[in-house]
Amino acid sequence: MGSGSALAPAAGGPASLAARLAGRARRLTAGWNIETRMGVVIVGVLILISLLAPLISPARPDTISILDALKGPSLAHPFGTDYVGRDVLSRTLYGARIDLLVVFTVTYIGLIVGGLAGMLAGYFGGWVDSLVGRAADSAIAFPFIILVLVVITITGSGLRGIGIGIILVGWALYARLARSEMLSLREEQFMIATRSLGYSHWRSIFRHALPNVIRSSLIYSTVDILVNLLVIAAMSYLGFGAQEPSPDLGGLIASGQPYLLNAWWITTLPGIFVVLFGFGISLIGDGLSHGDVSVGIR
Amino acid sequence: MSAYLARRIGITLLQLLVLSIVAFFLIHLAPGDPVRTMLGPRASPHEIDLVRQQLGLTRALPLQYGGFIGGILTGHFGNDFVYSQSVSSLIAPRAGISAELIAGGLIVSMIIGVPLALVAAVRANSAVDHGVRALVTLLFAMPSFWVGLILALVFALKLKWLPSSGYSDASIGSLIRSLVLPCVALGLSILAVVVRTLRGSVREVLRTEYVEAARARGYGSARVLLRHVLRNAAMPTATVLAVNAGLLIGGTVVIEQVFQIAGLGSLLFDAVERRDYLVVEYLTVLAGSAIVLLSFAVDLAQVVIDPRVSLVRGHG
Repeated sequence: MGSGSALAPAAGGPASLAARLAGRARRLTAGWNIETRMGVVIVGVLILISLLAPLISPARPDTISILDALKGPSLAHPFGTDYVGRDVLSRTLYGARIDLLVVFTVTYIGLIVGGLAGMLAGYFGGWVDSLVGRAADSAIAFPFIILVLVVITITGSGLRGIGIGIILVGWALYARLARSEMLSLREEQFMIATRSLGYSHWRSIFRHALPNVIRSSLIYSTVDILVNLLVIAAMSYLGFGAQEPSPDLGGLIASGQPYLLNAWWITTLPGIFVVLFGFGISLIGDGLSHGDVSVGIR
Repeated sequence: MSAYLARRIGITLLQLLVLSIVAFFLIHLAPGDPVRTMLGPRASPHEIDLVRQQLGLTRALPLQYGGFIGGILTGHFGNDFVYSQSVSSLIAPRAGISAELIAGGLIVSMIIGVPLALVAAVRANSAVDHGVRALVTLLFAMPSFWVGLILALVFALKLKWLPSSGYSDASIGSLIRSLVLPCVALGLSILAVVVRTLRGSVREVLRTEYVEAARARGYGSARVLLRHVLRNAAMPTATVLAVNAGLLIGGTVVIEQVFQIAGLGSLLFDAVERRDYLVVEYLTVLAGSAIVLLSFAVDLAQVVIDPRVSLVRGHG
């Protein structure tokens, strides 16, 4: 917020804005049950600490200190150190930052592309519908992880290939969801009204249908984020993700495998981040769907 | 029934066709030159041309696709450049190992999942149900390779009960011992799918009249549950599992790497790492076909076992 009396004439502005935001936040969270609230807290805290990694991590993730190599968890190094003495907690936070950035990006690109395609398919029907439908069917029929591996074969290692592979499959389920929502929505009174009033297709779809179509996709995106995070972690465990010196979580876990017996903390502790995040995001999804909408798991 | 069958076979064939086309063109139309990538930067243009001719990459694309399909249908996948041996001889001995892994993973997920789902469904919305759900959700959030590594740490390296890596079929005992940990890791990764679907369908069946009738006849609750409920709830779960077979097949790539098992998954991993396009192409089609055929088999079994299915779907 601004400081000093120079802003005094506008004081009502920020205050009422803050009040409005608070009111909006309260309304948004009012329908949340205990599961959703718990999930939001867990996921929020994890996102926060990974975003703040440069500020709060105990050490630089790439500072080598051979004398401290393979030290177990202690106050100075809560997650211990790796084979060249790097702080595993710091490496976990930095790795998580990469993974979260990638997973949110690819998931929501998939949601936007798929949602758009599905809405258009459901709204216009005809050849648009069959085109989108066939494309979505063939994307879903492909074994997910194997398609990602095919893309990596073409692009070479790196998060870019993993991301492209995930989006190639990911959009399809959102397209199906949005299409079926749009199909039933098209028969609703208010959608028929937009047509009678002569609104443009654009206005009908984006102002009137979108807010109703998006809900199921947003709920599904919670499961999708978790599945995508697991795929990204698996790919980088295989060595196809972000490379040294700052690997993402899968690569970090893999780097501890040769020292599993003598330094169990390198492999086991970074995984806890994924598990906690996944648990939190599942709680949000379950809570939002009230446990009665069965959201498919790929 | 026959109309439904004909349509279902048609869909299956179409799916297989689309699968082969996508796998083929994804790799052949991708930017970059596969041969150049494979041979590395030091290859001379002459070498590149030679290899391209050997692999038949100079032919027109439709011809290449024809050869690719012919290879799949006849089982003669051609010679692999990287391993200089025929692709079929690479795949055949490994296929059995991966199939054992997948079957074992399924068995583990059933042994753990079915009782959990039954308890959760019978005592729906109780503390037990919530506990099962939390456990399953937690397990689903765990990366399978991470679970595998922890299992290896505890049961192989610390307790020394089981081998930490490798595959041995010298005897039944050593086979089972080498498969237990990988199969548990694989099974736990799909446990959530099993428990959630089965719990849902058991709850649905519990509400039906024939279950009520069975209870009214005074059958014990164990008998009702096992003979009437489970049998009817099994089919939807099998369908969902077939749809999710991709998870298991993809999972073997990772789990075989964790436990150093030389199955199809590790072959695919090697092929991706060496950017060996030919092997990647064939394995992709193989894995995809397995999933397509599996879901066809499950649908077929459903028609044979349960006459209601064809009646409903035949008109749909």
